[in-house]
Amino acid sequence: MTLNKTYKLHQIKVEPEIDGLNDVVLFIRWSIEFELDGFTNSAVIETLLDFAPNENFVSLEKLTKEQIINWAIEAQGGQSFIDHLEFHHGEQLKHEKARSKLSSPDSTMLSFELDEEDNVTMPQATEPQPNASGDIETV
Amino acid sequence: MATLQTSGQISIGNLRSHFGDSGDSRMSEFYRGGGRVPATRTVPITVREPATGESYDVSNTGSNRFWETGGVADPFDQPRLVWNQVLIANVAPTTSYTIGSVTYFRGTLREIRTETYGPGGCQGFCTTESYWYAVYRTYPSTRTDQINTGIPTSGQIALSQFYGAANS
Repeated sequence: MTLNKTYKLHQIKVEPEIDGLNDVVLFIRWSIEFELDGFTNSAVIETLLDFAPNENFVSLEKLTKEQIINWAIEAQGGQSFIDHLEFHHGEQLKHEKARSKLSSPDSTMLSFELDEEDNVTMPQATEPQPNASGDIETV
Repeated sequence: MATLQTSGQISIGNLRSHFGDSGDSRMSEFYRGGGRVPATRTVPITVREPATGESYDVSNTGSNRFWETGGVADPFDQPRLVWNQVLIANVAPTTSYTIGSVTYFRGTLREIRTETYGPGGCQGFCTTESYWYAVYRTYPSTRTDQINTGIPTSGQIALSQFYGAANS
């Protein structure tokens, strides 16, 4: 199962100067919105970057949102980190999707009652009713 | 990681090639844990706490793990993610929150607390709701596995004891 993902950048914090380099990004607050069949949830991540001077330093004004998020993903462990989040978020989205079917007009809420001795009185089972097309749906 | 064949003839040359030995070789160099033949392997794992299910404890004497929204319209009553009695962050419950290498996942809704406060800005007594969720977390770690357990650490060695031996 592959979820649709939208990456968002919320905040960065920079150190004004380190080793002669200006505005060094050291903290990134970002999020991923996961979507499955219209259901969404979000992961919020705060990433600390280790400063490592190299010839590939990019000045703040030239940085793009994509570059910053790529740094954050790499710092968090790369694709395995994204896969880890996607798995857990996907499980919750599947759960929400399944629950949404139970709140449809065709489903019936059954309540259990306890007697004085905490014994459950089973509700009367009803035959599933056909929908407008004449089909009997199962959840 | 590579492993030696699991059947058939194994030669000293196979051992030297597999475990990276050059020059003259003595069988004693190939004792398990003797420098060439590793006795353990470190494996990356993901730890989940709790191992299954989720945690919810709002008592101050227990594990104290929960994620709540903070209901009262008061700047001091912020949303809280708490784990083992430690405030991890004042962050409203998203589905997950990662700080460093630890990711906290919001579990099921356990309580809705209604609080009444006032008189105040809502011109009388106001009611607000806070939502309290269970939580679990994951983080990367390592595990040490025992390997090459069929290879002796001293004494006599037979080449057949190196079937399936791993070099890392």
